[in-house]
Amino acid sequence: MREQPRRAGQATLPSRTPSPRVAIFVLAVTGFGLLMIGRTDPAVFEGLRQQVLETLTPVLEAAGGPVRKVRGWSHGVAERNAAFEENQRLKKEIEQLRAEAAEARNNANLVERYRALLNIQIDPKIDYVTARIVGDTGGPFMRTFVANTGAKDGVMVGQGVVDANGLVGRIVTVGQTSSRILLVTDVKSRIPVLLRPSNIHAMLIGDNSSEPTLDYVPNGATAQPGEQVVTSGRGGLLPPNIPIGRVMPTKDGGDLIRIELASELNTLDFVRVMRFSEPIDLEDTGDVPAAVIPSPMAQNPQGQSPATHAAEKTVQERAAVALTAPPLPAPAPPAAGAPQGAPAESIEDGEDRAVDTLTEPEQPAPRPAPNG
Amino acid sequence: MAASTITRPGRYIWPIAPALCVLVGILLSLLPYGLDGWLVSPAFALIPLYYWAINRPNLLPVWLVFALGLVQDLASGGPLGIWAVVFLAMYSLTLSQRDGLASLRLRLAWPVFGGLTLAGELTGWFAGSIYHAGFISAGPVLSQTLTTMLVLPLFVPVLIFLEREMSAALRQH
Repeated sequence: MREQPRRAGQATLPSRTPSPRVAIFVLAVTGFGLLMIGRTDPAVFEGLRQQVLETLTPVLEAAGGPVRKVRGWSHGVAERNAAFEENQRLKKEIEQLRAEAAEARNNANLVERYRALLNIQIDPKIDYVTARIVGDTGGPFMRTFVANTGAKDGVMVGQGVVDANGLVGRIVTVGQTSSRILLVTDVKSRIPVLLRPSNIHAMLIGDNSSEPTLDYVPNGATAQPGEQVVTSGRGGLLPPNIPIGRVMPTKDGGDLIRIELASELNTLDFVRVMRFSEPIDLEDTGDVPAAVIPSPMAQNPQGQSPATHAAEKTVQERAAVALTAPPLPAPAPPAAGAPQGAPAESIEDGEDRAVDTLTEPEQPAPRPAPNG
Repeated sequence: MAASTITRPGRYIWPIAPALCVLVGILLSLLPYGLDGWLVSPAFALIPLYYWAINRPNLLPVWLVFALGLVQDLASGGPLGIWAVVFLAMYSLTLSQRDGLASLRLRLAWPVFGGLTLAGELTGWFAGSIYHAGFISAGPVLSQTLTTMLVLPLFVPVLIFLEREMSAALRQH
């Protein structure tokens, strides 16, 4: 049979094509069935996802090299254009920051002195592991990235991920050498947050857009535009006081509160995974959070729990100190954009947390003699 | 003919070339392009899916389309099944209009492709909304449809070249 010439892209259609309608219907039902199974038990396919992630990450790293180069060039061109203005702006900012840094150093010295006086212990600084973003595995239905660090570097599910500006997301899948990050903008993301300076607790909820929403704001409380949003540390999954963004003005007087993120999620390259886990030896004594948890002490002869005994002892000793020591100064706010290496201290929250330490070391440091 | 007695690797590779094209598309869609603001990376896999559904549906059967969708689901880390139904929707709609689509030039096929992509993505949006028990934002869906449409002309010449080579290779066997 002589073949007829055809235009580019024109199909040579076979004379009979079997109708796949039944197969399409069955497979569509199967697809929705898999969705429902995954919804009921999200961990059921987790092993398979991990295997795919481990296999895919080296390929993405290799394939992403040219993409990163081109991205670098295009960003370079754009940045060159804005370099002069940025230079001027940065010079002004440097001068301002120099003054603020001097003040912050003074305040930090003061804080250290008062910590020593009150014998507050802080958690060890949070450990970080740096990772590179090798894959943007999200899309219109989810917002996730792949990082080239995994279990062999101490990364665990639930750990937070930050960049230079603030919180990016948290780890949801971990392989040996790779991990998947669920961004704060993903529809499954829920982050307990705190607004500053109003100290309102709320929940940051992603909706796959670039500006997540704020929900579960207490009745009667109002989030003001421009307020800083930081992690509250509630739930123990993320350390507190990690910057996230700022409250945006509501559009057309609506109720939906959106947050402008501090991080530029679309241009992420290097991030840090916070190897943080909440101290596990704290006895829950109510709604007063603890600042420090050493290893549990043996029960005292009075039969009180270590936390209760230590709390009473702390109250008694501080009452004695308070009679003679000068009042504490107002706390210094943390530097903007810098993730905190320690959990919220009582002083940093601006509230009187002098009685919030529930435990003390077995050998408390001697109190300084009161003056006068 | 001498050629028929020689083992040609192409004889075994060409039949799976459409599936390989979709896999390459899946890989490309996972790379970090760093698009600004509301732009979402294109769904590159939908381009070869559309092309081969028109030109060689016998080499891209529906069960393989479903399996490739599951591969994209696993690779993206999202709920298993969303991209599978997107691929199925795009494939079945393209197949149903195949006779008309086959004769379209690129300047007409382009918006038609955009419409089919949007239909497929909206199917995924619907599935995602069911999964999350609430409507998810449709903005990223529209954004990805737009970006996927924009990159279509870059890949069509490559696919046409591949199909010509494939036709020549398969005719010899």
